[in-house]
Amino acid sequence: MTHPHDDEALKQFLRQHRSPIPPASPDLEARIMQAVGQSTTAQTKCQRTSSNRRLWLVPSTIAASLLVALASFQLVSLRRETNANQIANMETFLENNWLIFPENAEAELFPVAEPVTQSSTEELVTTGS
Amino acid sequence: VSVVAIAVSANPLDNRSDRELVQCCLQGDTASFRLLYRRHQQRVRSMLYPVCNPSSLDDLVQEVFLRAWKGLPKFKQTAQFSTWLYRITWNVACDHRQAAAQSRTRLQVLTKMAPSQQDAPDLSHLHYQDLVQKGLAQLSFDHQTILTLHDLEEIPQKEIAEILEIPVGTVKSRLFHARAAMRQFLQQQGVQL
Repeated sequence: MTHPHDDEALKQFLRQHRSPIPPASPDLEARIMQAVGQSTTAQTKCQRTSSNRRLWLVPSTIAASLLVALASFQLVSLRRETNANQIANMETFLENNWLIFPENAEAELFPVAEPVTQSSTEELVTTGS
Repeated sequence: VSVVAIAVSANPLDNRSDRELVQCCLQGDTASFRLLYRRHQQRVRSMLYPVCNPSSLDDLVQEVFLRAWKGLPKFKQTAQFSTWLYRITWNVACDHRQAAAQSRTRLQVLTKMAPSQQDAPDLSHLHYQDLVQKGLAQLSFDHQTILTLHDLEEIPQKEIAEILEIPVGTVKSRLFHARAAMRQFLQQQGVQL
């Protein structure tokens, strides 16, 4: 364990015999301020460039949005037209086919079985015998 | 006449606090930064000197202030500017030390720089000066830093803790061990404190 006055003696010795700090070169301050000035100019340029970029971004975004809106509108209208055309075609098809449909087609397609009468039963029996 | 001369030569901006100067710097006022440089450059030099080659001291000081200027927008106004600046100084010193460790040893640098300290040297004083430099050099970087900041630069322990981002208890502990190592080195060299 060291005594406080030991620490004090060490501090005094170190301060007394520390090497003197070499003075700054005469142009150091000017060099630093020049570097600072250049850095400021660079930063300003950078900020300007980024703000310019931002400015360019606005009209580009608007133009792109308009383009997308126009394209999607055209797509939708095209679909609508197609649908209308398809419906019209279908209607025409149905109308045409309806007219050429034979009047007795129903009877041909779905023949109705004649009701079984007593005479016909007798006929069957006779033929069978 | 002398009073008038002093009044004329004194820059009224010198009375402004660091905080006010920082505010002006943030608006692009480089003149305010010049004042901050003049106010703090000596201590920055003192902190860097024990851990760097004297020939690169000016470059490191420039690096510190340039980093500070660029980092000002991120500087928290609640903190002390000096503490923040010394933190940058310590970072620059660490970077320099890592780079220098790859090329040459610290002792070689010290032996080169020692003879050019004084024009008319007092031999015993020069000898002790050399011992102090060598003693600092043989410490670890952490111990070297803590001795420089506390015992040579007289920065309070609380502020050192903020600069190095360590607890005050760690500062005390490092200081104790750094002093013990330094004392032991000096005793081995025949110095009685």
